Amino acid sequence: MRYFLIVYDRSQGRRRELTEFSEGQRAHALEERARRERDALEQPELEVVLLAAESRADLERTHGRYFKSVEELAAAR
Amino acid sequence: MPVVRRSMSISQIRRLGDRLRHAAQPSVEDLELLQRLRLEYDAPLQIVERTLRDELQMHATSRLKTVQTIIEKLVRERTRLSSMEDIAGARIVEEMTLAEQDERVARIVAAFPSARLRDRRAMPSHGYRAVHVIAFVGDFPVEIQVRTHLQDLWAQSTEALAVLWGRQIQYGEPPERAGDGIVGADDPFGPTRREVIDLLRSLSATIAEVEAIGQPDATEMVGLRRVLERFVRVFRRTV
Repeated sequence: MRYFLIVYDRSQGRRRELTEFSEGQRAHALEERARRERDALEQPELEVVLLAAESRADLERTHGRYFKSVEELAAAR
Repeated sequence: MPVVRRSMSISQIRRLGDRLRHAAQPSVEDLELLQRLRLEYDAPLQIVERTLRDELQMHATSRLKTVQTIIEKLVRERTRLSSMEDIAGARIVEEMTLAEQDERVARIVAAFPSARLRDRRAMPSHGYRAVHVIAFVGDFPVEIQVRTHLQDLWAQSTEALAVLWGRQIQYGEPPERAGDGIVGADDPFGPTRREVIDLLRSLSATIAEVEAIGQPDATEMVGLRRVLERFVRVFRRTV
């Protein structure tokens, strides 16, 4: 598994950051996500999500909204 | 399957959930407690990931819910933190028929014998259709969502709009400023947000009809394509 830490701006419907962690970095990715979540406590518009996937392509398929606009989501099908 | 136990008692978790539900702003201590509790779901989630991948050869992605969405759910649904079933979750999305979806779900249930099934195709939740399997690993539930591509298209589009117009649209309520025209619309008589949500809900019903056919013929696919094209046309001007 690889890990993808995403900071998503809900007020804009746009991804702000994407950090990738490798197979052996699950614990580090979880710690980093918790830290970023605490930092964003006063910014409710920010969603700090950590997703696990075999590949980025898998993630784009199952969590497309972090990668595509609604129009692109619909057009991709 | 290894035994995985919670370090907090059920009553400690309930009290934490009650404090989070009622606090205008969660305290740093409660936030850290919630993060610690959530972290305990990671070992069960890894067991589910491995089972899906190694035993069932299924491509799943996974996540632990954000603290923000856990708190929002506590406030919105009156769910107890101790009985929340989707703190850990995995998702499988494939191009498949309903029969193939049933077959995958049956294999997952067989791999997790105490699992519970939530078939939201039979009883859609405000348009949302999918099958959820709640697997239990020790004390911890892990929600496994199984979606066809079309079910997922609908769900992700709704989630993307919910971010912009309010999460209540996922629970059957109208969007914020429901009468506003959609952002960026060049036609002053174009659809309002409420009409876009109505269109989305009718799209869910159309997808259900097409999926029920199994192998839709050309005429039925033309009907679905028309609805999808309208959907894309409207959303092109939405975000």
